[in-house]
Amino acid sequence: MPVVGKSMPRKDALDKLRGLSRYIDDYNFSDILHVTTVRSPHAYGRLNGVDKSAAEKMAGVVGVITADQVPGKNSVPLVFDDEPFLAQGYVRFHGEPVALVVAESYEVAQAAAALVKLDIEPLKPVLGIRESIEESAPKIYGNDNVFSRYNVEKGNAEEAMKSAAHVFEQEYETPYQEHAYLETNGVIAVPGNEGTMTVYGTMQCPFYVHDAVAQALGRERNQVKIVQTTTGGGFGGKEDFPSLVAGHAAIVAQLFNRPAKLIYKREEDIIASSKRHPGLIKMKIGTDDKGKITAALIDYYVDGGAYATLTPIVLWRGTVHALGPYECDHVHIKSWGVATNKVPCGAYRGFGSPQVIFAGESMMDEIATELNIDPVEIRRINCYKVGSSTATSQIIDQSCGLMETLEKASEKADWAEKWQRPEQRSGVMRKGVGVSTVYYGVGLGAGGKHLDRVGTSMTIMKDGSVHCAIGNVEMGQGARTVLAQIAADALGAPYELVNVVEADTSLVPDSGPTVASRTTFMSGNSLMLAAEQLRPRLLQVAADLLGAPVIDEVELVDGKAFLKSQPEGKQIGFRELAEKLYAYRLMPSAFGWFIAPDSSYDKETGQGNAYFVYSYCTNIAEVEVDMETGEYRVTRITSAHDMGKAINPQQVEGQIEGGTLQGMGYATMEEIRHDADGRMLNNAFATYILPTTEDTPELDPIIVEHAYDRGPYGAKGFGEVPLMGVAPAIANAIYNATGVRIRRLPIKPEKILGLDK
Amino acid sequence: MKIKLTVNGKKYQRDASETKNLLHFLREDLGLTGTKEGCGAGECGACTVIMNGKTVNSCLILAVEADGCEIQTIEGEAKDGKLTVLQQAFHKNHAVQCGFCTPGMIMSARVLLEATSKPTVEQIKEAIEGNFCRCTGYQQIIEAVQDASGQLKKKEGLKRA
Amino acid sequence: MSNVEFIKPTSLQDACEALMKPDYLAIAGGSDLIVKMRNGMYPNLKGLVDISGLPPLNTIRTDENAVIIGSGCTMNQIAKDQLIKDYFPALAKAASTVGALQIRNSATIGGNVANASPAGDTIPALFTLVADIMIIGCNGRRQIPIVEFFLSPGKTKLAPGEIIEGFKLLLRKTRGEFLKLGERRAHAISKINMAVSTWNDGKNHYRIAMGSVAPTVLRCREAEEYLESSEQLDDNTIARAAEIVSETAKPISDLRSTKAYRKQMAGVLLKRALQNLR
Repeated sequence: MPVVGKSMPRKDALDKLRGLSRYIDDYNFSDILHVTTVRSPHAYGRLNGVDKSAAEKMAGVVGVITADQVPGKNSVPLVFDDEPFLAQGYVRFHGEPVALVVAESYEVAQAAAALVKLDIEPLKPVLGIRESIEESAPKIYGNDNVFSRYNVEKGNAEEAMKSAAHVFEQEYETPYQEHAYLETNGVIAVPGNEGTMTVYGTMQCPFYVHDAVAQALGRERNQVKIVQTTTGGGFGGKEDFPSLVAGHAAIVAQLFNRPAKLIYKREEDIIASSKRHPGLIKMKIGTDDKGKITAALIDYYVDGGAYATLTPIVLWRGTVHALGPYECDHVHIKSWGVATNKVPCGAYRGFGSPQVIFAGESMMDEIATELNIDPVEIRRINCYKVGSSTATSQIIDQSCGLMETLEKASEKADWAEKWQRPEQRSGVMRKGVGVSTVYYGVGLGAGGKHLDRVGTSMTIMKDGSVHCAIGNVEMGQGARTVLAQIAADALGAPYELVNVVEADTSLVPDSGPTVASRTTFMSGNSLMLAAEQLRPRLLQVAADLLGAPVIDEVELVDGKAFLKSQPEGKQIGFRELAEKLYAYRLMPSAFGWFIAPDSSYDKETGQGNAYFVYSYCTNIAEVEVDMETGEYRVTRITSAHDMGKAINPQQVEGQIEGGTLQGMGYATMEEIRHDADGRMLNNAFATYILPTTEDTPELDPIIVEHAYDRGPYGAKGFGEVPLMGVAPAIANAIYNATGVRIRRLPIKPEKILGLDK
Repeated sequence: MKIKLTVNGKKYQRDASETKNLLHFLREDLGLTGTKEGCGAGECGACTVIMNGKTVNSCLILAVEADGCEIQTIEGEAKDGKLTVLQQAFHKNHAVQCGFCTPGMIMSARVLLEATSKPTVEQIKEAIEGNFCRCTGYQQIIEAVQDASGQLKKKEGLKRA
Repeated sequence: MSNVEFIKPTSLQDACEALMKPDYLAIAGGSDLIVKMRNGMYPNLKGLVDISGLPPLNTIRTDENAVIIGSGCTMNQIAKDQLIKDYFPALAKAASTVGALQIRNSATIGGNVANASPAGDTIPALFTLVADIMIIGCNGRRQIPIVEFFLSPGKTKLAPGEIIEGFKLLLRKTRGEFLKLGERRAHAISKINMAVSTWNDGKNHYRIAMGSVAPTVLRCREAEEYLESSEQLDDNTIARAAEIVSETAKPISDLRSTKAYRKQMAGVLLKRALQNLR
């Protein structure tokens, strides 16, 4: 029986359930050094010196490392290479690494870190988007505090706005979001012979780490090996940041020629690691009398923090998606990634999209309210269908299940029965429903197309077990399971015999990052390419054993080969085929190299085929609001998703449910706060509030499958999408219950009652 | 300070640092790394173990405080290499994603099921309210506990919240 | 192994003597203390005195016309105790809302009070039950009414070498309510909490206290007197009492909530508590 489309059990669950899976902190090496980080207590300042003397004298301390001791180049390679491994000259955010304390035990390293004296002359920090873009603002990056900017222009939106029947204009703001993966960042760097270095750690993007360690050490790529260990969640938070952590440990390991372990405590993980960018979105939308959008002007700003890191590409994705999945002939979107003296922001599930989706989907609700149209109906009027043209003038030519998600979700949630205008509601406890629709470009798109390739090395072992080394990682999302299903069916091997192993940079060439919901699609396709090469060799063996003259007469499914003409006849098992494959001296390995379908982008106008395909979803949130306390309960969220094909439906549901709850956290309780000097105030789980099981609504996932012809078995990829539209669905439900419009996340009871100042 | 304690039915005698918490003692001194540190401050529940029949955050207990106590960790859940019904239910219902919360989650569910053979959804939620999971949205975990207690009717009439 | 001495005393007297030494601290459940140690709040810590194993501290017992709740009783022990539930429901409810289950299994009522957090959930409940704090030190025992115990956030009248032995409550049936608002539905520190207890000994008595609205838990004497002088607990009376507590509250804005919200919620919570008790 083929396994694609079936809820196969996870490959990694049994060890995890028994406490046997080894995460990075579960590893040890003899003669290991422990490392802690000395961080800037100021948001901005001139770094005049570091006094290591007291710390170095402490028993058990091996050394204190500062920027001048970085063996290679003191910058983390990413888009602009502007972030140093260790601060030099200036400190630019509260929590920035300045020195590494190396000791024989963690406790000693920690105690000694307190003795390192930083001579910093504080400067006035720039702390917000509005402040940073003012003409008179101190310049902390370039001559305008802007890391990058984009322009997407279709038709003539300024002109079209003048003739719009109705014009709506609003500003929306979104906060930081912390990934709060349960396993904090951590690595162990182990020096080897001939100047080699192996780094083990929790990460999403081993190839980024590979670049970073080589650069930090001044080594060749073939001297550096990165091995991903079982990873306790990522959500984007382990895209760019592990590069810095790994660089630190590798620097120490190289300088002292001993293994070095660096595991973050939760507080330093929150203070130092990347976050979702705070966003400011100014929207002006013109419509006709029926609610059809005729013009859109959108200005989008993100707070990038002190270094550019991934801001340029996060911003690009958000810019392209800023209007939402709605047809419109006249669109003008402008965007800015702005520098501030706060923690650098990077990737977080959705990657610049949840901010604009909150704005756009709230705006659709405002338009519907004003024009007295049902919010589901206004989406029917405007939503993408096959043949629609996007804001970048890309024609959606296939695999567009958006309308089906809208119909299925609204039917399952009983929208027609539950929706009524807020004025019709009364009483202390008020119910409300809200809807959002989302589209999301799968993969890196035109903004990152040079990275959009992946490799697979597939080997059929002598015993018939299949070893697949891939370029993407398992971080909890279920990649190893889904990809094993694809590989098993593509090869005709039994699922049990297929193993997709954890990532190792020495097994496959740089396959780009594990981000952008690209793994099922990209690695799935590369596995299929590898399987396509191996399968004829297996069929050749089978044909020989079955006495068939040509391989076309042989079928190989689920580990059994037989003659197509005699499906009930003689069968050859997979193990026997493998044994004979070796005996026939046929090559038992193959390499798959998949390049993403093309995408395009015009730098001036932002026009082109931004992504090769899109996934779609509709969320319907239901709330019950206590009008006296402002407290509310999200009672149910129905989410219908078109991901092309659900390779493993149970895992798809798990992604929908988990992503939805993260989106609910973003909507309702999560935010990072700073004091007036730019110091982060809530870098602990006691103060950064996450949803517990008691906050969890009933989650109702719906799978919609509009196959994509380039996808493995039709699959597109969608892991990020469940988070993205939850916040506006809840905000719209709150409005529907109370008549109060929240345009600044998170939706706190204080805001509902107007008591937030 | 010398302490004696029983972990997963096995007696240990060790010299424990006075300021080391039980979590680090289990992981570093006894080599039982199945119990995880998620926050070190008693918020996330990843370090949940069973101490004298009750769940505690092992990061908030000093090893020396556990002197004379009976501790159960994730390593003691499966018996003779065979998964318990609870573990099997987590497996079957896809209640594991990144797996970092799983050991603590199993401990909380274990104590619940010892006391209540057919817990309601509300009781399950209360039992795991101190165990953060960032991956699953909790729903498949709740379903797994329902399944382990023979209460899950697959895909029909499932009261999910 | 470390520079900190760990002492497990076998008697209260030994515990007090150990705590006379500078930089020696009592540890009961440890749920707050260990977090503070981890955060570097006690850099000079020399010793820990584990009082959790002292049997008299771990029981809830009656003594003539009083109930004595040992300071080492855990939140869960209190929340599930039938006597407490029957006689002092405000306290049982308060204890059941502290932290999450794992915390309630180890956190003690003595620790919750000795921490003197303005947001400590059991404190308002103990205020309304007119609890006396039983203190033992090297020079003997003393009792302090709980309303007089707190000086400022984190500071109490407990002297070096003294520990809280327990809480003495008059054995008298009360009806009570405890309500709190947090940043999430469970496992939350209070933005504001409110305890109300009432009993009748021929006449109606009310005690009201609230937390997170001032540097220490506040007793709402004016509202109590107003209710006790009112003929009946009708909607108007409740509304007036709510206005009074809202005036009494002197909150600030912080990470968890705002001054304006807390002030308004003081009234809402009292209204709801009284409606539930009507």
